[in-house]
Amino acid sequence: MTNNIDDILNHYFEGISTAGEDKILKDYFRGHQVAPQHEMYKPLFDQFDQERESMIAPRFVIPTAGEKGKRRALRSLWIASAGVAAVLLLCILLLPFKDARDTQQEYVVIVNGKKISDPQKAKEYAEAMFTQACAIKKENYQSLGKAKEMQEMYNAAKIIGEAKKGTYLLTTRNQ
Amino acid sequence: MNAHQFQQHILCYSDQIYRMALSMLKDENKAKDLYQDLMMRLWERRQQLDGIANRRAFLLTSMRNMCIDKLRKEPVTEEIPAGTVDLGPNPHQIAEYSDTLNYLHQLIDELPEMQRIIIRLKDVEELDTWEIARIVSMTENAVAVNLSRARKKLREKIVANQQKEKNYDEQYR
Repeated sequence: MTNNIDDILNHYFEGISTAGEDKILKDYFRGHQVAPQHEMYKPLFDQFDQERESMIAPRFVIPTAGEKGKRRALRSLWIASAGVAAVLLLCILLLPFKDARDTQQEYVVIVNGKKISDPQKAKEYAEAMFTQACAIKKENYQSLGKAKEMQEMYNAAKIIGEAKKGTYLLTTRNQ
Repeated sequence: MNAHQFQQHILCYSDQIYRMALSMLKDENKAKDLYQDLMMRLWERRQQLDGIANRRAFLLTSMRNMCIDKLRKEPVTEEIPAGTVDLGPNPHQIAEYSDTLNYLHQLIDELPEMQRIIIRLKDVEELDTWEIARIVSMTENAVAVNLSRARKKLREKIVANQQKEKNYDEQYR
């Protein structure tokens, strides 16, 4: 028997043992009649048995239709919540920019350090200013006309001409 | 395939599938997660499972492929520091193991991946060589070669360990 086991062991470790020989070896090492020279191999076969017995798969629960429906509903809820959250986040992020843009577009005119935000008032003010400017311009043109008149009045050539004429007139009168 | 058939034809291989994952990933939690993942996928595609002839080989191959994918995606964490010399466990270290079986479990885990899978499929799951060949996508001859190498390595380590223990006993007796 021992010789036989030795041969089978050699076959086994060479990887050429048959299924029948493997079974003989396993039965031999599972029993209590293991020869001392084979004792060192016993734990190897015990290890194989132990792995098979102790490594048990966790329980897999087959999903039922209800659970599947629940899972789908949860999934939909989750997607909807994520969508709402995304929209809220966008609003929070973009609103300040919108406000800033609105502020930039706000109608503000500063006149003499005073803000005028009403476009109508600003327009009225602008018209008043234009009228005033026109009046000043007109007034200034009037003085210019006066100046021109005076220039003409005090034109040296004319005065001399007229003076010469007067002298001549005076001379002829005296004669 | 309904729930009852799924239970009968698929879940009956649960332990083997789980052990395959555990053997490849060497991590109980990851193996459990991947097992649940595979089962969920199979359940969702249960209508296609009817046409499969060898369900066990199909399931073990699927698990193996998922493990390979997971291992590819994960960064390698089992780095051996430079300059480390692995002389194998000394008798003192072996004594620190809770028992000899743990030591043997570790010896098997230290084998190259393919040898580890093949020896477990052969000796733990007791599958035929042709079925193993189908699962690991190899020829029967290649499976036999890998199995032979794995067993020889284990024998060498077992014998060497026996010798070390003998020497240790003689030294301290």
